[in-house]
Amino acid sequence: MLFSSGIFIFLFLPASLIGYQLLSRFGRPALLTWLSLASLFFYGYWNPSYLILLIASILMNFLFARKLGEGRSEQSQSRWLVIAITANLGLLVYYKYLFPLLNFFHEHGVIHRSFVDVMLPLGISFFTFTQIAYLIDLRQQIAKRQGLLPYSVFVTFFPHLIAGPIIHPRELMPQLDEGRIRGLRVDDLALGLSWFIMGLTKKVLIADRVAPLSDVLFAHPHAAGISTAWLGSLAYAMQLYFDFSGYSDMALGLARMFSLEFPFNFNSPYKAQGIIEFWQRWHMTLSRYLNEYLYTPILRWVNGRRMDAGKKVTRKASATLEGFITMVAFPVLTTMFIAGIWHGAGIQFLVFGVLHGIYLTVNHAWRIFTPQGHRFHKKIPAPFMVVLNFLCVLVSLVFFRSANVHDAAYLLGTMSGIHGIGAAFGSFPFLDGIPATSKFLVHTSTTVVALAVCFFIVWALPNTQEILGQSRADETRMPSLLPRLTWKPTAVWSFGLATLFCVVILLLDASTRFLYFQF
Amino acid sequence: MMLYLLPLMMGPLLMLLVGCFVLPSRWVALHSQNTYLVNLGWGATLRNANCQIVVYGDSTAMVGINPAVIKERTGLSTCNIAEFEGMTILNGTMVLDRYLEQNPRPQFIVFLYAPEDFDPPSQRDMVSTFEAINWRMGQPHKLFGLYEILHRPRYFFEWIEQGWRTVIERLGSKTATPKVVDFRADHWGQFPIEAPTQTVCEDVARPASVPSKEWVSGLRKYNRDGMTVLVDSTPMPPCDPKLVYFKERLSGLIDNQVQTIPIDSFTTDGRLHVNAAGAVLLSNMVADQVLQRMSGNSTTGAH
Repeated sequence: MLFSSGIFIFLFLPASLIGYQLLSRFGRPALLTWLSLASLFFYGYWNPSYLILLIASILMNFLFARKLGEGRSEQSQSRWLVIAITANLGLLVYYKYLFPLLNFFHEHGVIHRSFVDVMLPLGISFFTFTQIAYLIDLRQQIAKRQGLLPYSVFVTFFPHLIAGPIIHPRELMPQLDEGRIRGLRVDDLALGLSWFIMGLTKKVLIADRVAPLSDVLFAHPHAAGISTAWLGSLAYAMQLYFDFSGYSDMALGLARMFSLEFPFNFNSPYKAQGIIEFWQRWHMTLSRYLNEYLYTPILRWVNGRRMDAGKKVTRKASATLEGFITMVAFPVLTTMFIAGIWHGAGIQFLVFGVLHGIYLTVNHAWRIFTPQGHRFHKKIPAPFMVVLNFLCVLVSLVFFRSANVHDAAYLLGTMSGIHGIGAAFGSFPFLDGIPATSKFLVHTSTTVVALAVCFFIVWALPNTQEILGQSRADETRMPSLLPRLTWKPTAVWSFGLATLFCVVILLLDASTRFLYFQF
Repeated sequence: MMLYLLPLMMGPLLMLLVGCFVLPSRWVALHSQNTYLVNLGWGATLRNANCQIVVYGDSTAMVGINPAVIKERTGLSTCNIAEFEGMTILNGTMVLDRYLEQNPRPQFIVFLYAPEDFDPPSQRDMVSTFEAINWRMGQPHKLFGLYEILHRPRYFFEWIEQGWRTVIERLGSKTATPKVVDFRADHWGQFPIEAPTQTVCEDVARPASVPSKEWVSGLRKYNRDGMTVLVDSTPMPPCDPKLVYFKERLSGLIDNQVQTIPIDSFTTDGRLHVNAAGAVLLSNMVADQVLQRMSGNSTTGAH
């Protein structure tokens, strides 16, 4: 069931909210049971057979959790943690990588048989990662062991089940405690619904409307001229941002309707002035996950080896070439290599990851070798940094979206003019594949205007949590043309958002799946 | 805060509610200028029509049965009240039932369907679902219709969404011309289409379907009150990949065999939609069957 579907908006969501409120008088167990059942129904509505997989995964990890945490010996805990992580990753590998990998070998003549890919269970990466984090936190005694009911809500709670945000046990579990979890609160309902509508608008009115252009371009990259290649690639950059950040806004809004708070997942990433900052603002919970569970352990391992060898692990040591390679470049590249593989079983995803690893390494080098206040910093204006950063991301997104590396390389060649100017945008032969609900994409002028509007929103307007006044207190607002645009529960906002909601609903049937569902 | 929430929650709900009344209205159909939408459920609008042969079925019948040809061959006045596939799948024989309530009983009812439509549930995601819901919601007992449609809620929401978009797009447009409004009446119900001639067989992967005996038995229940029922399958081109399958599956279940007619009798617009030449072949096929039954009846009568 998609958040952007009539069934979800008009049937599932009201029913789950009403049920939650009605059961609130029966206390915490009733509320947790309701949330758990509603979430399982939400998941099973897509494909009931994979519900068994989800439940089995929850039960398996719940049993593993009993072997970890307080009262267990260190050695036993380490052993069980390795077994648990292996089992979780084994499940992920089976569904996500095994058959594409075997077919890759088949295509290259290594094996003779080809295989039919198994259908990827929705959200398998997300619920696997969430549970691994729980087990590691238990092992490190950061998290407390939970009963089956709160644990199943932690894993399955429908706003984050399919595509995140990736939640830490320490973020959600305390909110499910006795006394904290209770019925609906009207102020949270108002805020959550407003947040949801804003996210839905990003998805349906923007992402889904520009998506057809990137779809036709990436389906036929060899037929595109330079203008089509640029406009299609920019359309994809906008589609991906508005699709995924819209989804995340909806998830945060839905959770807030139940008075539960999720961590932010996007914070104006295209306003970033460097790639490090970009990853601090893009898919933030994944970045955090990678940082805590991949980058940091790798860095600790590297530092341990250096210390064993009598080498320093200080900031000053990382400013030497040898220190930089081992303490910065190696952990960053390894982490992003794995992040690339996580996104999919294709070489293009691996290139995407490695490319970002290189970007990050260069950015770290810039920071280390030209520290704050360096004369270079004063000479480069911020807008230039923002545009440069965006272009770097755009190059990586061409790999991310292309069917293979060859198509991506060809398209980048077209964008850089290697293949000449090529046919004009209006002559791209596949524009007739654009549906009626995005017909403005068949003319150059209207396409440029549409993309300009997208750029205006991402570069000149505050983001959703800034508008809703939900940014962290210690965080300064990013520069925008409307810094005072702040949501208030007033009649103007109410009628404005209600109108937007109705307009969006008119286009729900022309909406597509969320891009991150495939991961 | 409750006042803030009220428009957010009630706005979309009102849109659904008002849509149930506005979208099936004649005003929307006329302003859509869509020939099919304007003529939707034409058979159910007829009163005191003298149709001795009534043809009902899916779009292959609607497009392909030329009542003038049948009348010329049999001497019996003929009306084609068939509808698009979605109408027959979602609303079954409601149009025919309404016709029978409002008009004298015909001598023959001819049911003609594409082979796949002998298993209606398997074809649910095919064409004209929007029109089917629009017609259903325009019928009396709206709440009951809504209850039926909400068994498959996705269709209902898509209908509302698409319908309101049509209303907004067509808000300032003129009403349909009399030529559009009377299109089916002018052709005795046939809905001839102009489209390029088919030259190669389709390679569309259609949903698997197993003809339903129970469903065909349901059609044969009209074999009463002096009415004779014929249940036929639309002919296929000889190259159709499903021809052998349906010949076997429909054998003994229907009154004609799954016959073949040349591929150039079909158009590229829709499944088994015939052109004018194909319509003559198809109508003659039905006329032959009717004549056969008539001679059979008269022989029986003589004995």
